[in-house]
Amino acid sequence: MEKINPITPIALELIAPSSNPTNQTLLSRFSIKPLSIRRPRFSRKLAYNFTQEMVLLQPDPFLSELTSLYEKNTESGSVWVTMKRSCLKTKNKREQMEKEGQKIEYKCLVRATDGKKIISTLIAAKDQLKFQASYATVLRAHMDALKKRERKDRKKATEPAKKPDAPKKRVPVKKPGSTKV
Amino acid sequence: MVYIESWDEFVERSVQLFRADPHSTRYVTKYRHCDGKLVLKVTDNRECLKFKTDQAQDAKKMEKLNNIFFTLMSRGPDADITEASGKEQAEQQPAKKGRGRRQ
Repeated sequence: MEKINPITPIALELIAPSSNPTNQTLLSRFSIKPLSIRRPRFSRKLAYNFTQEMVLLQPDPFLSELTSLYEKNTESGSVWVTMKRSCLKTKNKREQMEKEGQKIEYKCLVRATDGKKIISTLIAAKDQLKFQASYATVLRAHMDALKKRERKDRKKATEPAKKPDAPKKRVPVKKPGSTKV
Repeated sequence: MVYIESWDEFVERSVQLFRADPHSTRYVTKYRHCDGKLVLKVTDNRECLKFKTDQAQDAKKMEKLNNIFFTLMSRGPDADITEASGKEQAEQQPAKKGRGRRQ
């Protein structure tokens, strides 16, 4: 129980560099700059993580936020929706839990973003049918910029040609029914 | 990345991909309203399957795939997906007939 790793001197330097005047030499020996001097590196992935806050929502608020995401991005922009099987735990923790024989509860993680804002939710097995139905409704309502079938277009093109004939036949039939009788 | 042309092939391969590695496989839907484009992607960070469409009829097929993945991801890779895909097929067929009659 008492076998706690003692903090090495070098590690101490890194934790509290100002406490020791020799820290500069120590750090430079290992070619490590003190944290305050280091320039922030902005890899694309890091910048993405730092600048965007991911909000974990309940399924119903998620759907209403998703609706507003689709509405915001109608004129320009795209909306991404990602689905993944997850338990929101790190790989290390998962492995540890498996060793201890704990059951890991997996859920379906759903994330949505327009590149500016990220929202997410977790769907448990019991909520799955309800969520997938309402999700489908949201999609159907907003994915209306897709092209309809070519066949329909052909019909529409032929219908106007027929229409001038059709109303003439229909109108006399309707009149006696509605006005004279 | 090369897009898969056939919808059935895309569904089959993406389900296979998920079952092979459920922990790192994700399913992404990208919809761009202004261009009327829909891109579906399934990847496990090693292999990437993509399907692109601008047809409204493919959005209906996508609903079916959504249901398959919701089932697989919330209930586990061994979950039965015949119900998720079967129900949709049953729903789609009468819908098609209905439309034909109305027009």
